[in-house]
Amino acid sequence: MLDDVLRERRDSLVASWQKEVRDTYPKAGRIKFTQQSTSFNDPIGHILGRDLPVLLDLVLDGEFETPRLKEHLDPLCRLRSVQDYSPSQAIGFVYSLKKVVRESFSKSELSDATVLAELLAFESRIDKLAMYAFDIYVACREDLFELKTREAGRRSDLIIKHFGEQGKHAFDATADREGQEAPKVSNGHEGGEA
Amino acid sequence: MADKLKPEALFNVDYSPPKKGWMDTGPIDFEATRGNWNFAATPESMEYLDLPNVRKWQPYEQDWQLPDDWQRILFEGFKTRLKRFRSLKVYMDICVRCGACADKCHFYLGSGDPKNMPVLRAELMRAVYRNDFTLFGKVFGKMGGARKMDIAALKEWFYYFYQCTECRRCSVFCPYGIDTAEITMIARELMWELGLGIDWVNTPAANCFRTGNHLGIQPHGVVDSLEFAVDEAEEITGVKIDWSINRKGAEIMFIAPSADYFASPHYYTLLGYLMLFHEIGLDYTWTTYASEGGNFGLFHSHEMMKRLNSKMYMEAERLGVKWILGGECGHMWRVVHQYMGTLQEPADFLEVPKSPITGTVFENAKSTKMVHVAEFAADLIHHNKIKLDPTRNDHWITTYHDSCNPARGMGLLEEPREVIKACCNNFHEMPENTIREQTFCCGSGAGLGTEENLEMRMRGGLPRGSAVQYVKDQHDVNVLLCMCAIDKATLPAVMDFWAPGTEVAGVHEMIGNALIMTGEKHRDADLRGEEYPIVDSQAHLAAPSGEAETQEEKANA
Repeated sequence: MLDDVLRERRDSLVASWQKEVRDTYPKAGRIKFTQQSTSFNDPIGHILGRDLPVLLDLVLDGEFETPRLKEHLDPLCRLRSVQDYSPSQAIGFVYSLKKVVRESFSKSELSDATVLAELLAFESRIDKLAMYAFDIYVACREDLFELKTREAGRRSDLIIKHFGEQGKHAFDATADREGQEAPKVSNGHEGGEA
Repeated sequence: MADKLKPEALFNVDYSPPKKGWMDTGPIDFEATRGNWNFAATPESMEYLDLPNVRKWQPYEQDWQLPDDWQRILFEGFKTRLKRFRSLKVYMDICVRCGACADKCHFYLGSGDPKNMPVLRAELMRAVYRNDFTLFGKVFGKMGGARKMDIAALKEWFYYFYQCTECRRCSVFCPYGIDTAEITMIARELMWELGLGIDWVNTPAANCFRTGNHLGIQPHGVVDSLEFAVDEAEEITGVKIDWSINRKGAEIMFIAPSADYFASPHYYTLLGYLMLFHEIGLDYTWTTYASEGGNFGLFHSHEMMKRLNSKMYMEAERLGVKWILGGECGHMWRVVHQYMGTLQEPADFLEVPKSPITGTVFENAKSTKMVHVAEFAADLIHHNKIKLDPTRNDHWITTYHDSCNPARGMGLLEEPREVIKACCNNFHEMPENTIREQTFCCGSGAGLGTEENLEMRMRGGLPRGSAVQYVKDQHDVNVLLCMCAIDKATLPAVMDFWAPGTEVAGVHEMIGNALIMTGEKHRDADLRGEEYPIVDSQAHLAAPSGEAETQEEKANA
């Protein structure tokens, strides 16, 4: 069974997958001796070390209806949703598992029709993982837009509560004096905190 | 939490160098990197501050409309500053690129971009220094680490020096003590000579210069907002709050960051100040002319920092106060503590601050004549001068974020903790390497707390968010306390993204909740209107909590 073979190779698959994802980040130009990545000295390495092995296990077991999936898929999707990646690059880390798995087989192994059929079935599970990753990624992007709205609210809720229309006019008057549009003043408001 | 080096780690080193040198990575594509940078300063705000090269422009435009001789202007500006600031010359020469700072920057940790390593960010400037000012650089050129200042290099300056929050965590770990934040400050200052800067820094600075605060609130607006806050504090406590504004002859002048007047959750801290000062009968005044503690000049240039810092002391002199008390602010304290001494004439017209309640003389403020409100409150608590009922904060499970500037900029580490512990029964520290002098930045300081660079802010906020999530998992922490207005403005978003379900609050909001005021009415809700979880909320009125009562007895004795 292909799954059994993959389970035997689990550790090397995880290592290769981690390297693939690591390689999507720029070379840091620093030699990293620390083996114990924590979320405070190497958050990216920490997430890869903690979550990718679990994700591989879940794919191997075909287990997607578990809270563990979101728990271990969310951190990397969330991180990549704010990093310098296009959506496809951000989610692409899931598909790099396909490459890793294929490369773990020799050409002769892959020419065996049974192995190939099982591999295709396994890859469908990776596709499923990618779908889940996509959902999480999009939810994170939606979060970001909501954050902007909420942040604007936190700046103005109390003004509206206290001053109502009167407060709005006071701010508009300030804007007029500067020859700026009204939102410009809220710009100063937002930036002027500290 | 030092990492143990395992022998096999030596075999896991990747020796392959990056494909391209750091100088050859190509020009920044501002269109493709939206979310990483801030919008340019508006012509109106630049004009207001008499800045050069006023025009309308944005970073994503190909042509930044620089002056024809911009390279000469930058060279002359650099030369002048190397003469003026010995520290800059030392910082340019002394770095050995050991890399100790590299993984200490929140932006590097969150982005993985090598140019976010403080050492490489500073190298953007050092390379130009070598090219223009050292024989070695002139002879060996690129081989000697020198780089000619051209448009691509300038755009990298703008991109990366506005991806530094000047938090100074890197400098804690630098064996030479290089203050990388000062390198960022000089780079920004030089860019302003070409009219290059961001709006989030410049408009607040212009507003502050025009109306006395970053928000641009006019004097009557400041008075109105304080009146509303006083009304609300009276409604909550049933106590008529004593306060005054622009009052000559008051003993103390109080300056808060202007966000405290309007923004949430800052406003609850403002209520806390009003209640505390009333309860102890402080002879103090607010002011409209110096209605801002923050100093966005710090993120702009030395000249701007000086201009904005001056007004606080000019107002203190005009009102004839003895000393200044300052609120929960960030960069105001960095400027006062680290730069004012050499920027300004000594404030000899003020007296060495002495608490009128406890008699404590704040010798540490002998030079600046300005005391932090957390220091002042900790002193009150230490001398049992206020009654506190910490059970009123039992619905909060707290942790404390050391705001960069009060922590690293002035060493205010213990006082806020003393206050929190006196006001809250539930307090849990985040991991050791994320607090105190090693505290992680909110990721939005130094003028970067905008909407257009939210992705960058979230990357920068990751380490702080992870640390909060850590104590959340361990202790169900539900509020992050902090002592800086930028933190209060920007950490809620960081929490929503990285540690959902965590509120953000000021230290003095906790005082406002816990403070038992003379003549107060039955209080069944906190300053936010949240109902207290205690069963008999009247109990404290009949008999204050045991500890508070003992404190009072001691005080009377």
